[in-house]
Amino acid sequence: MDIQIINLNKSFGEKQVLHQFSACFPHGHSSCVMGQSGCGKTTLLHILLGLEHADSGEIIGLPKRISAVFQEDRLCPPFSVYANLQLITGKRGSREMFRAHLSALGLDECLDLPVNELSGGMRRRIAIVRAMLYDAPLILLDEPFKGLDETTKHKTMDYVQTYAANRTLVFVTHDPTEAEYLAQHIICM
Amino acid sequence: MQKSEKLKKILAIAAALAVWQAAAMLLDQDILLVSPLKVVSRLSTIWKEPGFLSTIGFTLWRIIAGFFLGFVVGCLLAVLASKIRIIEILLWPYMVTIKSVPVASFIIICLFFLSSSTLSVFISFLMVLPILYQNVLQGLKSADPELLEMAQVFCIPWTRRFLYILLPRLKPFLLSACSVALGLSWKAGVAAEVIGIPDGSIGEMLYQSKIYLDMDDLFAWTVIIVLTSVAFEKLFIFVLKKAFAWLEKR
Repeated sequence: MDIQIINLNKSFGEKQVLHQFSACFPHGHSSCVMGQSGCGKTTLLHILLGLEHADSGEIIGLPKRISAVFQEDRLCPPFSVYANLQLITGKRGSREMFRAHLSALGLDECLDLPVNELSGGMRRRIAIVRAMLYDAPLILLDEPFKGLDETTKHKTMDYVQTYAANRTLVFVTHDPTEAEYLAQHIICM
Repeated sequence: MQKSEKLKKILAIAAALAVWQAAAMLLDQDILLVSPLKVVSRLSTIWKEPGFLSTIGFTLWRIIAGFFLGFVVGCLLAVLASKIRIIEILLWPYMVTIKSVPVASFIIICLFFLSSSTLSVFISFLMVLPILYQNVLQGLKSADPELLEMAQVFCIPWTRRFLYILLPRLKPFLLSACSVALGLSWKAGVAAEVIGIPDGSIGEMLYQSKIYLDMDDLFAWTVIIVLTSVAFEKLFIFVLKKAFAWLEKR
């Protein structure tokens, strides 16, 4: 089912960030949300995730389970990559499964390392792996490739394309090349 | 701790003992101040006396029981208060009262309701409770809201949220609370025994030393209390740190 957003409004105090915003994210497709800083892209994702409430408007077709990569990595600092991934998969996740995902991004040596010992780029990719491992029909990514070099970025985009196949993917970016590479639909705010 | 730091601390202890010895020699009245040498000499004989270990065991068991009771109840109440604001508000006057009323007042009041042998358990519990409650509550409140949002999005069960998100935040609060509470539970527990005078307790030994003006015994038992309290504190903090390290390595 497509996700329909109809006339969404959201204000923070006096500042209106979303004004009569409408869009459609087709089921099983990849959509990119673009726009200037402060135009409400992250707020939109937060509303879809249920972390913010819209002042008015309607969202139709939103599934119960949603996976996400936040603007920040949001990994649990003292724990290993394995523990962070198992945190969301539970018993369904195995070391072999995690290793396969990590090796696709060149991170197979990191499985037992504490996440606070990894570089920013590595942590970003771990957050992406976590989102892909979560069994949800909708994946929301907020500037997922921020801070990655060109080669790593392309490798990561290929990984996302593979593991997000047949799921609805919505991602926010400022980079037109990312949008061109990964998105089937582009929505400008 | 660095070797030089350890050496500095040993030297500081040696200097303090030298000052104590000099003061005792200057006063030259054992009834006012016993020298550290005499205390050491008394310590070398006191452990051979019948009932020495059972006396320590009597007090140790009760203070540990009071501490663990305070630890468990304090943590449970903090978890409840962090979830339900009204519980935090309702508990506030009790915690403030326990913290501000002198321990001697509590001991005397409780003597009307409790036997002298259970008094030290209750008094230790009472002293530990607000420290654990307030520190754990503060730790729970300081949990990273971004990680809690992540847990909400990924529908992480409460047990795993607690282990992976809340417990690492609680670690420094719990360690410092336990360190303070352990010392306080010993001080208050022994004070309760000195006032309640249960048979076969360290408190009774201190009380008798006071009655018979036996300063050697008074100082020797005080040293035993300090050593036992420090040993238990170090052991408990060590176990707690190991438990956290084990959790983090999972």
